[in-house]
Amino acid sequence: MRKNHLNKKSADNDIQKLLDEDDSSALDMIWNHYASDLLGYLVNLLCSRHDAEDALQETFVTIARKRSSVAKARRLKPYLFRLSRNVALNQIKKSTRRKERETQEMAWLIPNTDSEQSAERTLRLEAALASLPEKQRAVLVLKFYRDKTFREIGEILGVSENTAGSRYRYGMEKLRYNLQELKDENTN
Amino acid sequence: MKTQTEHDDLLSAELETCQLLTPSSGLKKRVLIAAHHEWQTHGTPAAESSWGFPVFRLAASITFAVFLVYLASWADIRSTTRWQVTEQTFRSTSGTVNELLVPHQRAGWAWLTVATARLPQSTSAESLQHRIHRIDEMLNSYERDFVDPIKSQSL
Repeated sequence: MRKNHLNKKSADNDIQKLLDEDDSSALDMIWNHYASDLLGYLVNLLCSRHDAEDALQETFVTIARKRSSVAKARRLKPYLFRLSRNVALNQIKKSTRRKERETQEMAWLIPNTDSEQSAERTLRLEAALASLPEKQRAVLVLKFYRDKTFREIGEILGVSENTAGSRYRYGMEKLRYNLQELKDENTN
Repeated sequence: MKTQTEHDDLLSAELETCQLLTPSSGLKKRVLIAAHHEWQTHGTPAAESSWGFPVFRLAASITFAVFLVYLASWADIRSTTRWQVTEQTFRSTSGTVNELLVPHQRAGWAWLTVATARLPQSTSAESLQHRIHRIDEMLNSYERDFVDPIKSQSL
C-alpha cells in the first residue's frame, strides 16, 4: 500500500517534470495514471457516459493549455480532480437540456454478468446512485469502483478522512433506502 | 432483523455486481489527439506572464487602496464641514455668552473664542505653543477679573 503510494508520488513528480520541460508525453503519462479515476469521478458528477467522456476530453485539453500551472501544482492528484470538477460544473451550466438527456444516457455502470436480470439490476443501481447527493455519491463510487481508501478519497475531494467516512455511511444509508423504494415501485 | 453490518454487506454485494465505465481505446485516441493539438497550438506559455501578472495585481491593489483612502478622506471632510467652527459659529456663541458677561469682559471672551476657533488652522509647533500661552494668559486674566453676573445683579 505504502509502496504504491510512493510509486504514485514519484509518477506525479515525473509528470510535473515533463510538463515543466514542455514535453507533451506528459499527457500520455497522465492518461495512464489518472484517466480511469478521472472518468469515474466525472461519471459520478454528471451521471452520463457521454457528458463524462466529453468532460474528460475537455479536462485533458485544459491540462495541455494550462500546463505551466499544472507543473507548479503542489499536489498533482487533487489538482487534476479539481480541474476536472470545474470542467464538469461548466458543462452542467452550459448544458440546458441535460436533464432531458440524462435518462437516455445514464449507462455508466456495466453489469458483470450478461443477463437480462443483471441489466435490470444495474439500471436500478444507476438510478439509486444518481438520486444520491453528489458528495455522497462521489465517495461511494470512488470506494466501490475505484478501490480508494477514505484517505485517498479525502485527498481527491479536498476533505478529511473522517468526512469521507461519514459521507460514505450516510450515502450507504440513503442508497439502501433508494434501492428499496425502487424495488417496491417495481413490485407494485 | 438484520444488523447494520449485514445491511452493508448486502448492499456492497449488490454494488459489486457492476463495474464502472472504463475509458475505451477510442476515447483515449480522441482525448489525446485533442490534448496534443491544444499543446501544439498554445505553444510555451509566455515567460513574462509568471511575474507580469503579480506585478500588475500589486499595482492595481495599490491604486485601489489609494483611491479608497482618498474617498474616505473626502467623505470625512464632507461630513464634518458643517460642524467646523467658523466665524458664524463664533458670532452665535459669543451672542449667547455676551448676555451673561459684563461689557469689559466681552472683548476678552471674544478674543478667546477667536483664538480657539482658529486653532486647528495653524500647524507649526511654535505657533501652537504661542497660542496656548496666550490662552493661558487670557484665562488667568479672565479668572482675575471675573465678576459673577448673578451676584452682581443681586448686589
